[in-house]
Amino acid sequence: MNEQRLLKVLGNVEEKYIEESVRYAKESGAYMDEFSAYKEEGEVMKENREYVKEAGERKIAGFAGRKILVIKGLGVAACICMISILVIHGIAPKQSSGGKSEDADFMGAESNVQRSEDEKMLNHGQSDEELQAKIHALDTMSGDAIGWMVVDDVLYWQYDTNFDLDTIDIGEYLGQGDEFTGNYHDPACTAEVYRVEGRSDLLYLKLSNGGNIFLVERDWESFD
Amino acid sequence: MEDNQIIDLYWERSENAIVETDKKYGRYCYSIAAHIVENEEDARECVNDTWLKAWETIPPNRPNRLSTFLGKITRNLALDRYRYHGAGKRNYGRVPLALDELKDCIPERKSYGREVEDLEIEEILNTFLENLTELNRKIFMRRHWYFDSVREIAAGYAISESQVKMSLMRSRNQLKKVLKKEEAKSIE
Repeated sequence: MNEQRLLKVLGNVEEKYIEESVRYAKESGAYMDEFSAYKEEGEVMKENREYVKEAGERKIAGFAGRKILVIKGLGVAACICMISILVIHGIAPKQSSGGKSEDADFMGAESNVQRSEDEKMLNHGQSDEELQAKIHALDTMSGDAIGWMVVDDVLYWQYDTNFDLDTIDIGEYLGQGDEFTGNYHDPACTAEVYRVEGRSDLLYLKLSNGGNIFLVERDWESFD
Repeated sequence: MEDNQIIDLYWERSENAIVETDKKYGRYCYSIAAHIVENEEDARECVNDTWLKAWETIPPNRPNRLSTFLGKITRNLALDRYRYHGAGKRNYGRVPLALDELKDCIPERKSYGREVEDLEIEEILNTFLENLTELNRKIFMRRHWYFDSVREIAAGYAISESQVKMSLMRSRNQLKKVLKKEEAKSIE
């Protein structure tokens, strides 16, 4: 069986399921009437363009069968990385607040509040503990289940190993795979990490064994 | 106009049947087609072909649910058109993404004696859908039958995009398990 056949057969499932799922529009009030006022033509085409953008959000496909160089990530590295980021974004403003003044305590408190908010923003609305817990969860996932990496506090998941390289422009070189938190730490096969031009949500990994891997930005929320 | 009345028009061979069908289900069918072919002209042609097909098949058919009867025709026609025109092109419509995701549902093939027949798969899919929770089932159908985006589904059900993604991932994993089990049975 292949996916084309599955897609075709899926087209013939019981009609009640096809009809039932159309009615979602009614529940949310997104559309006034489930059929006759379904969608304007222009709207459908606009949505199509957005959908294609979702290419980057495709589920990481076919991990089980692929021999990808994936090893367990380093939780300690994650902690160090996070602490470094917090130090840069949290302590620096405090130092720049200058000498002591009458308002020093108040300013300090305000600075702490600001820092805490900054940390939350940096962590995509999560507390540091929540983020650490999620990184730990990722770190302890089965090594062959998923490829992941954190770059600039953004989480990327592996989703395609057979991307057509001719269709993309490789961007800025970021470093070696083992410099980043994640599970690309195999001394037997190193990986160069690049950005992809025009696709800030993608990372391209060029493996020393000739392989190519793409990672896509993922919501931290995905682990809720 | 009620579906039964529209169907009666088909049986009477009245051309108003097409007019009324287009009025009631035109946008619905257009949406289905446009999600697949991603070209306005092709989508409109699929819808017109749907009306023609309906004209040719009613009578003798008297569909219980006119909406899904027409929707299925449109979907099949659009998929055929997609295969004919765009199968080789990358990012042609939403189908490549849906196919990519469905790959996750297909068990790794080793050496099976006989393939599970389409009808059997259909039955498996129906059972699989039956066993999903109502919301997960609707999300799955919106994604893989209607080719809706995660954002559209999330907006439709007033839930977060992450919830939609998680639901889809779990449903696909579940389907994979079911298919794997059935294929193993077919070997025995």
